[in-house]
Amino acid sequence: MKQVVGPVDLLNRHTSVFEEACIVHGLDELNLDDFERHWQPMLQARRAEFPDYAAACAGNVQDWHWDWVFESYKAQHTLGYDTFGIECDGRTQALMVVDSNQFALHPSQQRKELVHIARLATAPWNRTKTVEHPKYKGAGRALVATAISLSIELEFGGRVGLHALPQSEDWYRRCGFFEVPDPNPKNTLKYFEMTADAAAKFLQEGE
Amino acid sequence: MKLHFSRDWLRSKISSDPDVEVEACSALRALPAAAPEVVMAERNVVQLRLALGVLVRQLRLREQLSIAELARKAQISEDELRSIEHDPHYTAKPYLLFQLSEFFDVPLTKLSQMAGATHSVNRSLYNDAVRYAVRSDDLDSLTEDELRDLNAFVALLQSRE
Repeated sequence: MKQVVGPVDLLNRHTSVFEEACIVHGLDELNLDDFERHWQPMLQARRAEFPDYAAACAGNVQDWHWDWVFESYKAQHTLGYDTFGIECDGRTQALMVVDSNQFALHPSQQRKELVHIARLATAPWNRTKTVEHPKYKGAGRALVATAISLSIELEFGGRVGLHALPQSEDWYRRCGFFEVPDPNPKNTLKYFEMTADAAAKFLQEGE
Repeated sequence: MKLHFSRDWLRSKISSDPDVEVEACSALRALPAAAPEVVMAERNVVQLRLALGVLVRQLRLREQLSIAELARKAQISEDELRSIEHDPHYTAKPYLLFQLSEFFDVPLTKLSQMAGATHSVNRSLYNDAVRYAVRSDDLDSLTEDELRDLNAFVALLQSRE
């Protein structure tokens, strides 16, 4: 069942004005309808512009095959698997699925529980590489901060892990994430973790 | 659940953040190197889809699964599975291709090309797929020759070019 977690603001790049948005826990028909009717056609059309998967990844449509309807179904039936979204201007602006059954790999927090961001995607119209004039900025940071909040609520100390796209690695490093060697050699993305100390620092101006 | 940050904090961070993509995911697999590709005519796409249908059906038979069993195990719909096996005019959805790719450990890039989901197709993949498909019969079980051809074709799909 969808629950409103709280209000946030996203920056409308077209007007340079912040607009009120809300973070939701769990997805409903509105979010899944947005995905199927608005996200998917744009992502698939953009994907068709690239000759192969590698080019599509470079163009930031590597998630063209993700199925958020399935992710939502999975979250409803799996303990520790949660979906979040950001709604603004009547539309779903970003989606995230987290898995809180995972354990940390960073030497300082090895084997401690963490919230793993399994998938995080902004709406295609908010992506700088997908449309010429992307609309909202800030949905990614808001969802990462939400994952850290969930980690604190679960008493995991704010520990979060994720695989970052190459173009966003620097941003995650600046946020305080540490790169940790990934034990799965098949993964081509670098794995990052935020420690409890880094999470506290990340949110220090927050409360 | 409560958010452990304020709206003011988020606004100030968004203002100072660079404009970068922040998408994240847990499993992007190693990609094959780029190979020569050509744009396919419609009739070639139909031939590739016929070959894809043969491939999926034979992989299923190799694992001794019925359509219903494979659909359940790979979390896909039976109707879509029937369509991809028998209807060369059916456009497979990305999710279906992805699940089949994961289930049978066949690269998604190759399945996508065989499904006509890409603008261009690797020329040697096209030739190999058509050659593989013409050697198969539409039977309910695999002959030894078909199994050998299937395994050779899958190995070809899995090999890096």
